[in-house]
Amino acid sequence: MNKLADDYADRGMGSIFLYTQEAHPGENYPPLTSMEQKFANAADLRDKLGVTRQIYADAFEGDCHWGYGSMPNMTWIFNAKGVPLYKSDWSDAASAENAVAYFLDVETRRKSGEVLVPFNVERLDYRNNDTRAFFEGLALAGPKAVEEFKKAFG
Amino acid sequence: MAVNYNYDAFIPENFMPQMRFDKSPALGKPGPDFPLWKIEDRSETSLHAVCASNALTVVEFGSLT
Repeated sequence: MNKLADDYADRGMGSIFLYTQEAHPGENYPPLTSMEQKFANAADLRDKLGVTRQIYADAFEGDCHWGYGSMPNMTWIFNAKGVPLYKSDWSDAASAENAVAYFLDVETRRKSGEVLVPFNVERLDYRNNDTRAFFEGLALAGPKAVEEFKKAFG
Repeated sequence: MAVNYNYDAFIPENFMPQMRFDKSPALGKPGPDFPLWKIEDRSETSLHAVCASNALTVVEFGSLT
């Protein structure tokens, strides 16, 4: 997602990371009890995992996260008026880039004189399922997080 | 709002009530606005204010864990 942000930064696309709750609290990153802890964990996300996009913290009780469906790793794309154009229940850079390229082309087509109106479409996108990388990430939280995930999903 | 948003264990009783993608806002209509805080200086802004800066804004939700 960092690369997507970099690749389209000069084409009218902004990109942010919105810090929510700890989905897999563990010994190293226990459940959030304060905004200060949330800010500190978000800084770790930036410094340890290399998130280069601007990171914002949601409210302590996750008002924005909850308002948009509260999935643990989702992506939304908005226009400048705050209208959502795309929503994905899992973040995937290829899927998001496909959507961004499409929406930027819509603007190009409009500027060239095409009269375009929106319509609804649903489709399934596909992502790589890198289990090893997932568990490596989960281990950052601590053994408790790994055990709880295995217990929940086998 | 979830009663146990900042839950202490990843167990179905805690995380399943938060899987609410089917209840999320519709596309094509103005989405709800919420306050957000920049992590470096704790300055307050809002989702819509952030979006207003660009033609498109990609928002990834998540956390370190």
